[in-house]
Amino acid sequence: MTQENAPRPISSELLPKPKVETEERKRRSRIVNHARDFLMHVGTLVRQLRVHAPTNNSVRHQIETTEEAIHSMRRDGESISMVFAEGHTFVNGVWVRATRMMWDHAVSMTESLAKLGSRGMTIDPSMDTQSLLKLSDTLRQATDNPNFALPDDFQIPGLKLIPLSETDSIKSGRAQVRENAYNIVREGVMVLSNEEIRRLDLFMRRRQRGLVLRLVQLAEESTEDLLALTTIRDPTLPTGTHGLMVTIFAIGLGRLLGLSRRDLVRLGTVALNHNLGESFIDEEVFARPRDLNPTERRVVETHPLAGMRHILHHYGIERPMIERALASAEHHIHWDGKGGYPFPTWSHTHPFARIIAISDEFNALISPRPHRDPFPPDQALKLVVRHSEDKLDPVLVRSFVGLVGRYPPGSVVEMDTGEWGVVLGPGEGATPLQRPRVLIISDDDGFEIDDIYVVDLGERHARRRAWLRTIVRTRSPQGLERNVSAYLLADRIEMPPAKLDLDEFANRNIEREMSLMRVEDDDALPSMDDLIPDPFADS
Amino acid sequence: MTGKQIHHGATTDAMTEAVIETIRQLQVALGNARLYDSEHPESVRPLRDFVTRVNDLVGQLGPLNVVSSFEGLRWRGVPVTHEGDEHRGLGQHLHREGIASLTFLMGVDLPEAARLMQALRVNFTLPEFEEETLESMLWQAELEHVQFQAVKALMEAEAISGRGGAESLDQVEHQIRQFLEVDIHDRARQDFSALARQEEERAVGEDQVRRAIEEHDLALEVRSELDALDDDRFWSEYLEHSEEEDSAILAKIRRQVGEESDADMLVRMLMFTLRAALAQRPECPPEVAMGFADGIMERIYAEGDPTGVTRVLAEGRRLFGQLNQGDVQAREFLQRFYISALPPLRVAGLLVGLDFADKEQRDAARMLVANMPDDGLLALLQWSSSEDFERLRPFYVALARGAGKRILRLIPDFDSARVELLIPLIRTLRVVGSSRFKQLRSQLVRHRSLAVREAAMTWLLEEEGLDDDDLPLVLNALMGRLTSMRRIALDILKAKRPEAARARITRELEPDRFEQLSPEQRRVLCVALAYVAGDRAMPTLQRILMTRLPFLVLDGDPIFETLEAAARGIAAINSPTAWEYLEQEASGWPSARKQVCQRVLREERGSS
Repeated sequence: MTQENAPRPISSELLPKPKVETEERKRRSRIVNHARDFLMHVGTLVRQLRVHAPTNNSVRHQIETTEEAIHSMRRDGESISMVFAEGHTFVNGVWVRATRMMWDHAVSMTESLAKLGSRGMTIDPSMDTQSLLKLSDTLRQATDNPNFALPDDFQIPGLKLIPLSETDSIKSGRAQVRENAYNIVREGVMVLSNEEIRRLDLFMRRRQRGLVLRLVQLAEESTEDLLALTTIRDPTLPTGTHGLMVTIFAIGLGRLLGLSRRDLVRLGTVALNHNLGESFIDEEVFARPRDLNPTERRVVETHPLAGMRHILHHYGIERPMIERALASAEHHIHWDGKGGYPFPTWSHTHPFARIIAISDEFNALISPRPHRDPFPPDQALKLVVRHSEDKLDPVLVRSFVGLVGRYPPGSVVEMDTGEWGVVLGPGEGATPLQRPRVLIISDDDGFEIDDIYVVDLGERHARRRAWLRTIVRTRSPQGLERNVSAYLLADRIEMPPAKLDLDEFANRNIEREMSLMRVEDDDALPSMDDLIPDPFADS
Repeated sequence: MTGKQIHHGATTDAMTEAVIETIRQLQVALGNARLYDSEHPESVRPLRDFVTRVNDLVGQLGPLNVVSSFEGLRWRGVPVTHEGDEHRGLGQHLHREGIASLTFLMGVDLPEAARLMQALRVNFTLPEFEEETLESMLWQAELEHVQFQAVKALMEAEAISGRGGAESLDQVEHQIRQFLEVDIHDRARQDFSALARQEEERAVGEDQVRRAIEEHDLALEVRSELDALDDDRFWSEYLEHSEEEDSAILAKIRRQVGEESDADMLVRMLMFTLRAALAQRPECPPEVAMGFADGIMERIYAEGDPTGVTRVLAEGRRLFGQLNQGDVQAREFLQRFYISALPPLRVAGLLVGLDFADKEQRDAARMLVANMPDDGLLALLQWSSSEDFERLRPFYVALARGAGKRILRLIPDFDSARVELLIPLIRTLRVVGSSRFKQLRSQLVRHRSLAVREAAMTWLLEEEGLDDDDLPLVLNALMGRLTSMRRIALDILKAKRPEAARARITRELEPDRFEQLSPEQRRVLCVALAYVAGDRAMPTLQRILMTRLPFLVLDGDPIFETLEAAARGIAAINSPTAWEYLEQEASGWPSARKQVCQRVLREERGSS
């Protein structure tokens, strides 16, 4: 390896310079106070403009007062973003406790801005008196004139209106699921991007917590929809998506284990930050399309301690930080403390680190890397199971298999019917992990179909007891023209369960036992061709 | 407050009154929860009342939904709280925190109400900029019968305001939309069978598997084993196993996660930083890691949980065991940390605050002192010498159990040892209550320092009785010159009442010897005889009381003190016969004896 392409060593110079927390806190308080003042003064100004001309003495006095507030903002030289929601005010990402008077102004501001198609504004310190007057007058008109429309070329120097987002419109069904998925992934990419992942100030912590709350809520609503998010795998997406996917798997596993909501939020939060230390490693190391050499490997192995150091050094030893630091530090140590890095010998790692290790491993295998294609999920799962005796906690690995099933969500499978499908998650039959719910995406000739539908592979033919469909092989998702996640989140038809006849009910116990039999036993059963019902017969 | 007050004179029906009273009870419970801890009766009582009321009410009305506003809480549009400001008013507070309404359903129980209280209490007292919101806390409280509705879109508004107009994400956002929202009807149908043919041509290669194996520290032979995993029987057995045998382990994991205390976490972090320091990794050099370790140790002490400190010790021992025997430097390094991590005064502060009724804390205390370095232990002893014994009794128990032998080894020669060490040593031995230290006690009772002698003599109070070896020590002290020792001896006789002492004391009260004693000695001996002999002391004491008196006895005459010694002795017998006798003499003649008996009766009877 030449000197040029040698990996950058980790040194204290690479770590961000420490900030004095109290100064940061003071600065934040100042900005919030500026925003509060601004809101109150502009609110008052708008009210005065309703009854007085701009040249009126009281209006002029109010303008002067407001200018003073802007002047204070100028001293700090920072833009202020204010967003209003039903009387609540957010300033640069921080929710501000409101007094009664401030609340009233914020309510008025919410209503006026909504008429301008906006939910907030970003104020530049360079904003001048004219801009202030124009803003106030526009807000007044928006409130007073029901027919007021904002001109297309509307602009106020030093001020930018934040538009109402698309999510303000109400969606339902799968569209809502997609919208939710979009918001989660966008948020995950944002908080875990290389630029932001080292930031654990209050703003980012609240955002991380918000993201994790959404994920846990989604897990409660539908584990399938939660795990569908992990199928968004594309090398062009920012690296932060790995952290998000690991968090999703970790939350899914934590929920399966029966952790409380509080503990799930803790788990999700630490999982989000587990790879923080990687942000100190030169990106080129990860981008090389070949094996790592020993030096590069050593550099990669610095990330657990680098992450721990960064968190403790910059954000102190409060409980939320310690949890993050520990997860970062321990997640590559073998579960029993006998191997891995940064230390080859250690005690049993914390359950969070063990859960994250499994999720991390699985997601790394199913993700594309510069030197290899992603492993199909079922292959990746086999590798994870193989590790369960040494590197990973075997009991938790079994639970993980219980979460994703033998064919993890996103697995592209070919069935004995000739149909292709994408696995949604464990099924509802007697062997749910081996016979998952599958989204059928092709006909029996292998041609993609328009109206994709869901089947449960645990279903048998009503009278002949044969499985309706059986997976014969898995296929790589790489070859699909679409992202697997697009199928999983698309509109679809839920197949009603096949009707059972009386014999079926009578033999239910026998059926359950049969379902545990090996697949070969089914080979003797009649051909599937004449057993498959018309999928749309009952829909 | 009544409903009429809230309605400003308007008429209220009974149901509204009931809602008002229920919500008032909730506010009272919240107010108390902010003042007392959750177990305190003042916290529990109003909460229990609230639970009863709200269930009664829900039973009559159906779900109780109260809506927050800046005017307070409203029920069916009617204000049900009167709130002065948002710092005290629940309605205003909820409103400001983004909780639009609360709905109580049938079945709220005390634990659930306590969880609701905890979320509200924490939120009320949080500083302005904190990670949690009331919404997130209520949600995490997992309330089954208390529903809440948060103001929608708060989270999103928060996120948007934090972006500050950043446009760098626009591209990524577009990309994500593409991945998630591809219209599957938008183009020609894909032929998957053709895809299958292509895929078979580019099957996963051996080199890819090898790289994956290396990436994840796998053994090279794993590839062949992967094929074996294709067997369906393997999966059946593997998955069945999970349900049967793993449940206990998973329950343990749940407990470990759910019950993890701050101290647990701090200890784990501390041990990790110590391990990092020992590893001498460039990404976290020893001096940086040790800086963290010191800071965390401070926090552990600040938590005031001795089990945290003891866990540091236990874990340290384990870490020490993991070190290579030959790694002297690392071992010394760890030892240095532990010496600095156990400053005697901090440890003492922890020990004194312990709840010794709790076995875990008792064990923690014993372990703490057992692990103190010698210097620290001596410093700890010295500190305790000036403290009150009774207050520190549990501390000495811990000291005796954890480091008793070591203390004796550290103070081999009593004559040359400092008094500040000997007194705590005596106290430590004293709480053990073992006769094995009798020999040491006799040495200490004869020590040159009066303070040591006093402490050693007091130790006898802890003994079950007084045996033949100890009695002479007590009697010598009783008849000695030192007032303080006499008093301790008297206390011992009072407590133990050794019959064997009677003859010796009686002999001392014979007229020939009695004459030579000081008034104070006389009194002490008379009382001592009363303690050890009871009614059988009467003849001796009567004899002294009946001493022939001179014709004219003036107040302050020495004979008064002799009479008083005897009278106090009789009073100390504290039997009906003794009191009757004193009463008889108090009304008899001559005047001097009468006066003495009256005084003693007045002073002693009450106290007896």
